[in-house]
Amino acid sequence: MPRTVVKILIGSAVAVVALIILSGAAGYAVGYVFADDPDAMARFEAAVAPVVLGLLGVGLMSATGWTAVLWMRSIDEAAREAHKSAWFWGGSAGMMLGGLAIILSFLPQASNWRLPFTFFDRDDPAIHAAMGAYAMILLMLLGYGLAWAWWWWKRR
Amino acid sequence: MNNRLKVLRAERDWSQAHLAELLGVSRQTVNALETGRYDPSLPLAFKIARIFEQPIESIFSED
Repeated sequence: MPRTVVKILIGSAVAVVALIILSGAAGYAVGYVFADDPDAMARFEAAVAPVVLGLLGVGLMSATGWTAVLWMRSIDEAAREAHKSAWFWGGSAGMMLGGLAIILSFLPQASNWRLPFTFFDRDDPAIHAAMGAYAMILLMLLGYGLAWAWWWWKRR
Repeated sequence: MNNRLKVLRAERDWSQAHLAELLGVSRQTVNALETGRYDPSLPLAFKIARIFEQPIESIFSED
């Protein structure tokens, strides 16, 4: 395995572990400070959570983008070609499936449809939108993975 | 596109992994090149030509 790839994998693993430890420590600290005053904790959470989650999201997506750039630079041209082909054919096929679901959602019968499960105990428009985006990403990734495997299988 | 990569590599008794290392690509890429299922970019074709010390047109030919 190329040294750059190993570096990327180790860096990603360290970042994930660090994130888990930091999140745990932050949760423990907040719980400790507000243990005697649950109302104050709720107010703190309402004020701080959007900022923390926003920063976490930006940080996570930036790290993901940075890792993707390093990854693409570390692989050879055939591997890049496989990813480009997978992105176009697999990603597009996944998007077409998602598009079909969007068109079907215009049916009057679809208004009675509910999520078959709850996400973080929520069932509101924001979570529905997030689940829709999540489902679209999953379909695209599924298509991407299949197209990527197909590209290499044809050239084995 | 056809190529003589496998023959040239065999003449030098190189493994796919060794050629991959010389070219700075993966062994899978060398395999895809040899089987003619992947056509290299111009920079990679020039690199191949340099390594085998032969002109590009003597290594690669049209179908």
